[in-house]
Amino acid sequence: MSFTTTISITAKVDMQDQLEGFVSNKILPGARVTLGDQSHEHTFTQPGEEHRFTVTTELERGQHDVVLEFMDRSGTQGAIEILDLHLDGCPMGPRIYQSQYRPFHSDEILRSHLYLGWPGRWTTVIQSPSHEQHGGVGFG
Amino acid sequence: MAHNIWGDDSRGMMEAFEPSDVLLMKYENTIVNCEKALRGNRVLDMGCNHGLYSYMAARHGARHVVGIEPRGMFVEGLGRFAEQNDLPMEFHRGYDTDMARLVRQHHIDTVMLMSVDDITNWESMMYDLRKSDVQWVIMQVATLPDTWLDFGKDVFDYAKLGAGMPVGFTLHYEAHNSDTRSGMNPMHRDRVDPDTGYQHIDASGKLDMQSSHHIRYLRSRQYMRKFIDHVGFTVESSTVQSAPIPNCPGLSASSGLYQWYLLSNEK
Repeated sequence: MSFTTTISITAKVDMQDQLEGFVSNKILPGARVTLGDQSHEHTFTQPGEEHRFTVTTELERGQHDVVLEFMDRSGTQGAIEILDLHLDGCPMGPRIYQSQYRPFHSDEILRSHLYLGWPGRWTTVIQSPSHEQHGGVGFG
Repeated sequence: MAHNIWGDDSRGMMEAFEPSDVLLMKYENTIVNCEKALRGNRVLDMGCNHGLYSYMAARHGARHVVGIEPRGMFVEGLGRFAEQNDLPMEFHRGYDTDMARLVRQHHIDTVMLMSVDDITNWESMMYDLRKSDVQWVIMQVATLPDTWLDFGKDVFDYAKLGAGMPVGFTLHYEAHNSDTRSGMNPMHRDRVDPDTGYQHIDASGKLDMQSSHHIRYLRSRQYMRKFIDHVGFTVESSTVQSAPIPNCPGLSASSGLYQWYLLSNEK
């Protein structure tokens, strides 16, 4: 049996525009959020822009990765800061820190990082069905 | 109801939603078994959370239900739900410390205290309720079996010095704000996200794990029984969770700690 699950990640691009010379070589990044077999892509179009990535998919019972990754592996991009995570509309709050971030240029895994200063891949784990597995989600 | 609170993202979850064993257990013990305290009465649901039990109280005959909750996303969503469906319910932002005023202001007959004992000054609330004109108190609490902790010789030696005999114990847990109920912590109310209740907001408005610590209180069953007796309520009924419910996200349910009281406030 599968369960319809919706994940939303709110993220903000940081071009560090106060450092004028530093910024000049950077491009606005794009990111892809993936859950199961569905994904949502967005390329930021202006410094400081916030975007809510929303993905809905069918998940089997069990653990599943939520992935946010930069679409371009080039190092000269702005940073992406993850601000919030919603599971089926319910805010996850500090559980967002139960995550890991791996920059593309490194084998190092950084835990509990929400500021993605280098292009890379950020993941966290959710369980399906959400309302049976996560306290505070739905009417559980 | 869910759509009003959590928006479109909750649609898939709610279409597949089936009440869990935990939810049904709470419903049976706080609503079905307490209907005589609900029917025809004005009910105050302190810490109403997602409002499901406020709604159930209304469906089981409450004349009017006032739900109090610190988190804006619930209060606003439930207010819309009540208005759209013309239900005898209203919801407001508030804390446990507002209870005595709310009881007077809304001429409350019955107060529901569902799982607020571990994050509020429960004793103070019980004193306030006993002094009030409230007729009934419906409580869902998490209590520790008396067998979990035996008093040692030191405790009894201390008691013999004149401190009085121990009547139970309270365990204090340091926890993180891993769920939104922690927004009730009075120490950090000024830094709580007004929408979600999470205490993760630092001075610049960003997440701050260091200020999310809070203390939970779990009282022994004997202590709670003695305290209720001390305050002077009449125990109409008391039920203890019959068995732990495995594989559920709530610690209290999975450890078998839930207990329900129906108290009458006889003068």
